[in-house]
Amino acid sequence: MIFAIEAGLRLGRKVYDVFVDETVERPLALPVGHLFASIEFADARDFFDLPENRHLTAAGGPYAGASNTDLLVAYKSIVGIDSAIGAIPGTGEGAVEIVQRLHEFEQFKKGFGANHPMQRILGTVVEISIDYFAANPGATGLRPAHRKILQGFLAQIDEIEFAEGERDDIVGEVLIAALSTLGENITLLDDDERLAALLGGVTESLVVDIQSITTQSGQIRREDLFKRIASTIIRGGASAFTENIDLFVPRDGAAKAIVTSTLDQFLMGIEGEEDLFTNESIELLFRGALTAAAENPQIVGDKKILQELLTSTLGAITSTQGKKLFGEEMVARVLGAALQTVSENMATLIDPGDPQKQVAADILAAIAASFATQLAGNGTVQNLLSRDQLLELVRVTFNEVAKAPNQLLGNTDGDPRKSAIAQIIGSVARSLGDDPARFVTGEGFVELVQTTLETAVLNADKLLDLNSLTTRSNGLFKAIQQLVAGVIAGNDPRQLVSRQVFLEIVERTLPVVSANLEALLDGQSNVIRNTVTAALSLAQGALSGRINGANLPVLIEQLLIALAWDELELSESASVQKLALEVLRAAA
Amino acid sequence: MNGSSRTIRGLATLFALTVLVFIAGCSSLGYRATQDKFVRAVELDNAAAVSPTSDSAADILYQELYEQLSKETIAKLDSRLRPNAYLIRAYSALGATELEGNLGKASDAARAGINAGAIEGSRDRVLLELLDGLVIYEELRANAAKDGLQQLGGITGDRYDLAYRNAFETARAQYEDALGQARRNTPASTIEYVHYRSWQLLVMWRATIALINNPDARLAANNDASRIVDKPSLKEAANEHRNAIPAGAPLRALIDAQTRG
Repeated sequence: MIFAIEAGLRLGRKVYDVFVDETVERPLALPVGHLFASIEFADARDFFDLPENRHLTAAGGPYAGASNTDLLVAYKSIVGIDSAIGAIPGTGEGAVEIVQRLHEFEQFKKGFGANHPMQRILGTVVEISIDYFAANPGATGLRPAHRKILQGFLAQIDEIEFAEGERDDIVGEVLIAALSTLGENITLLDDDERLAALLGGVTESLVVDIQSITTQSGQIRREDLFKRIASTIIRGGASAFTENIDLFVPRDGAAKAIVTSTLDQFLMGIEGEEDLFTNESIELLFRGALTAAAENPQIVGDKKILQELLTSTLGAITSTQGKKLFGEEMVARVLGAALQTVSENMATLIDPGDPQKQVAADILAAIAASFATQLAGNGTVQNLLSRDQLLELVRVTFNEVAKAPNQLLGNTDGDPRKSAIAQIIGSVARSLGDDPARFVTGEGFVELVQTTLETAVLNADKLLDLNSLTTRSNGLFKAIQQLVAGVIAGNDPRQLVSRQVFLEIVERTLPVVSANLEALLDGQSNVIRNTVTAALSLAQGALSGRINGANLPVLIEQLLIALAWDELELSESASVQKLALEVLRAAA
Repeated sequence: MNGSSRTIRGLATLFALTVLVFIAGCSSLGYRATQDKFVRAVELDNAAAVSPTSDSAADILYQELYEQLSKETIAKLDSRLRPNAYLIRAYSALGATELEGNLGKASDAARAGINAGAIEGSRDRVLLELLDGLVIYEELRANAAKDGLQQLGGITGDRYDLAYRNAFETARAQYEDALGQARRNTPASTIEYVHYRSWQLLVMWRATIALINNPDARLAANNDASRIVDKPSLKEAANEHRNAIPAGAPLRALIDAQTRG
């Protein structure tokens, strides 16, 4: 029994030992302890104690005198902004700058007083900015480009005079347009002063424009227009700046002044016809206008030359006759071509004594008139011209007028049909007859016009009859008409007179005719026609082996010269042939 | 002696022995319930620590535990259980904030637990060595409550020097000593716990200095603290303890949750 008891006790002891050991080693929960101060505040304090951030809490800083609670809130805001703009967490990079700007902004606003409209304007700017970034998923926050834009915008906006109660939503529209338009590729963004000048100039101009409208409905319509074009205006302006950086001097507000006055006059110039312009064409036009203004500041001075230029030119293009030629789709391009040419030829196309005299409008009116039936006849030469060729015709004409404005535009008594331009172009068009495509392509016609302009301007009073509206009485018309008639009458079975050869024939013979009008265009003799016919006859007959398209024009030219100086009679075949051989020999 | 009397005597001896064994075993059996109660108290306490709005009945439980585990009661326990019992008594006193002189009592209990033969390197030994540091932590916490630190109340440099600086330094030394008690037999969870409490102490030190109003005094305090911990900053010293806790461990997750704000 004792043995049993001892055994039982040993067993019980064993069990007990295991039990105790397990109890000792039983897992326990342990208290984690209570925090008694704010870890986050310590982070905030470290942040504000950084040397580069001390200005935030120093006197005059946005958080000067702030309580610890306010500092913690501020710190959390900065961290939040960090997160929003994708900055390195905890550094406040970017966020600090934003906070500083907002603080300055608030002080700036306060400086205007409680009810000043600038308070409202600036509040709008901030709201617009925040809304823009919230609404644009691609805008991950204040990229350097956006920061520059905002800085440039804010730097200028305080110079604009806002009146209480007036509409100023356009300010936000310009800012949105700038933010969404000015990408990081434009070098202008590296130029803070010029960027500010552009944005400030555009904003001021648009605000002043709105303010000039007296009815609210008018203002609303204007705002709708600006919403449509604000981006293109800024893009066009930025391109102008970038391409002509030396012209836009930011010093003393010169660049901004150019922008403001150019845009003012640009908008006034196209007023009422805005629907004729796409956003792209407005961008190009404004860029052109701004470049022109930078190169020739006088056009945006007090006399508002640019505005008058645009208004009158637009008027000419959209007149009844203008529309027939140009069509609405060409308005912007023609206006751009006119603007560019005037800008390049200011000295000759703008009369310093009468700067508002609208040469460009007169030129375009003359071109349009030249294709009217009264001048151009029933021919379809207008149909040969593509839009690009028509534009080229405009440029060619402008350039020629720039060389000799008085000769080509003067003394019309306000009737463009009487201008030399109209008479010349009309003469050329009429002279080509009912099938102008036989002799010229569209490109060829433009070339032909240029040739005749160059020649006619040297002898306008003899080649043109500016006392008569009809072109039939012009020597120029008669000369080219006879050339055409001669080709037709000569049949030209060898088809030597291609369009190019025809052009060359005109180029060579017109100066000869101009110098020998009485001899070659006298009465009913049709000397020119007969000369062409004779040359073609030789080309088919005795000299068929020597005459080709290359030497035919010079042959006709030299025959005409001989005829003009009475050195030849067309009826004397042998003499004609002999002279032809000499000419051909010399031309070989 | 005849056979029946021997049998009776034997049975009586057996019975007495059995009773003795039983009595001894009863105290130890009941002790598990005490441990369970301690776990419940800690769970409540920890819930309040991370979620201050939750009501905590931990204080009451801690006090009950302290009173329950009197010296006399502990003396009745198997000797192998006594260090653990003193551990619970000490940590219960620590948490029983309504108990008069609770912090002194906690220290006494910890010393008694060490003297009761807590095995070197064991969980209980390390935690008993840590207790004095935790007592100082609670004293710091009491001062912080007086100064309104939790509400971001500022303090002067002098106040910091008087009420906080030396206490932080001493507590830190105690924590380091506790860590120094770790041996190969020390459970990883215990070491992680000491690292957690060390991190906690250092971040509170940093947070207290942040509330010194005067910038110069603040800078001086930071430089002083950095020198003491022998690190460029208290933050870096705290991070070392954080990083000593394996990723994925609950205490590491707790640290990260608390630093996220």
